[in-house]
Amino acid sequence: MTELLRNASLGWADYKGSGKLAILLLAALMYLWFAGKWRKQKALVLYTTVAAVCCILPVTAALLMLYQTKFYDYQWIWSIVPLTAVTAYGATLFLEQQWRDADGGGWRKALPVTLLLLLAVLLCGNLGGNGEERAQKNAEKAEGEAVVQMIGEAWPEEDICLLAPRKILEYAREADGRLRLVYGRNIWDPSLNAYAYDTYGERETDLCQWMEWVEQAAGVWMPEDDREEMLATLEERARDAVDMGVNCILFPAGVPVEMKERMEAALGTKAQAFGDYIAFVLF
Amino acid sequence: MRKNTFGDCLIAGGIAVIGMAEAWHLAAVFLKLAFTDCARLIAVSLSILLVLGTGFLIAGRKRIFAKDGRKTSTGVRGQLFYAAFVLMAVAQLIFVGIGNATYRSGDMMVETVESFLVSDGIYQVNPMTGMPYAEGMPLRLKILCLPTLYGSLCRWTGLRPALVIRTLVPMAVLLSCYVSFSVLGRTLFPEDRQKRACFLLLTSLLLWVGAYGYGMDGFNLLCCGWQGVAIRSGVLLPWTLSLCLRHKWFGAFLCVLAEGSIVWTFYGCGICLAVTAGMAVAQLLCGRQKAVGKGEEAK
Repeated sequence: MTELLRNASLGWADYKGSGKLAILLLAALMYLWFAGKWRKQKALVLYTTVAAVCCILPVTAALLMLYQTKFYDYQWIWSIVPLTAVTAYGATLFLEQQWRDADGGGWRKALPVTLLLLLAVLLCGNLGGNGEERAQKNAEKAEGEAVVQMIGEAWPEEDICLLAPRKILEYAREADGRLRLVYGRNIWDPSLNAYAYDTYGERETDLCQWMEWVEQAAGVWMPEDDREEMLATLEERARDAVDMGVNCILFPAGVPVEMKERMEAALGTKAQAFGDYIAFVLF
Repeated sequence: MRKNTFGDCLIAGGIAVIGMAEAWHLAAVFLKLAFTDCARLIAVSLSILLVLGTGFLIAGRKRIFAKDGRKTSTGVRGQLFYAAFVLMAVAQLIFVGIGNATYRSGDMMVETVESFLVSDGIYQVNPMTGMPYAEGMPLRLKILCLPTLYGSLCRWTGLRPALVIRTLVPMAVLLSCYVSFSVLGRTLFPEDRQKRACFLLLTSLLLWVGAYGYGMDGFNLLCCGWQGVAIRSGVLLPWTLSLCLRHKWFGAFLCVLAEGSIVWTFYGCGICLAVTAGMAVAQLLCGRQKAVGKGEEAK
């Protein structure tokens, strides 16, 4: 029953979480046009209507995306529509009309209408709807930053080139700009690749894939094929990392002892305990 | 409302800051200046700008702060609206300050500023890795000035880039957004303070509600307020609209330039230009229709 309720609430959160402010704008525009309220701000209402129609019709929307260099997603073409301003303008005029006669007892009608409008506006949003996902991300961020801070404190004078699990590398350069990486978070967030012409080679992508297997190896289960390939390529990946300049490698503390010993042999260094991780340090 | 208000002056000042940062950023990129030198030059220029701006405000205070005799009083309802608006704005500032909903996918501003500070150079290393660039980066992005401006703030104050970029800048942008919407409210309702208060309250409510989705105004301001697109949608565009409605085209042109300095646009043709052009055409059409109507009445 609890699971059912949870699914129902998540389903509702998903349902109400997509694009309803645009509908509110269309409602505001209809009110402005049909209630004759457009006369005071003709140009604004006309411009907003035409811009909104251009964003909705596929051909004009495609042209607007071309105008926006094709780099931006569809939703960015809506920047051309003064959505917040005109919706607030329409709602202000609507409420003013409702409350005009409030002093003469008209509040009995105006109050419920205002509350209904407020409810309609609130239902267009999704406040707190993805709180669970956010909390998980924030916990990961806090952990990643704490590990990076520990690295900075442990070896303050060293020029460190780090190889670590994804959840640490994700926040490494934000938390400490002195750290260097052989691959950054743009390897798993391709939208970041628009900011540079540099691309990653096979060695970097292989190393990234291998580190993901290492993380899985510290967990309860991983596919057998992946485990075999990870173990078979362990020395090769360790050598690649050193060739690329890595001098500090972090593994989750839960990796099998055999892996730890083989890494120690391949790198010629002893693993050090480092919180929930073990560190292979080459300086 | 034709005259410039204090709100107009504040936003124009913000645009002047962007312009100044852009000029020194370009100089540093093309002359390969050290980042520390660039930050120092920006500091000196902004100090001069601050002195000049204060002087301008003092000199024009009678005009800028003059009371308009035609205005209606705010009334009890208007005061309630203002109080509710202030509560909403404070709640939003706290929300931004807590930073639980920060959206960083596809954005590398903090890493970029960190790399400027550590390497003491502008785009000397790839912000993602801290290694020198192998192939370089697109010029269209290299010319945008926000990383240099934020990095300079970090250099002057000694604060961490993550704190400045993820917390302090979005708070400042949110406040600027309300200044901008306040100016727009004055333009839309020049003689009615109560409606203005209601407009601001509804704007803040819509921003809260809009925090649900990537690309919405509320999302830009509350979840990634340091980005150029957030400054554009929250500050530049409402002000552009207000300027267009008042036929102040030079101010709108400044917004176009400011957008070109902070957002990747189509060779400088961004949203501010499209909105200005659209509003100009709409006003032309409405003006022509009015003239035709008057002509028919005369017949």
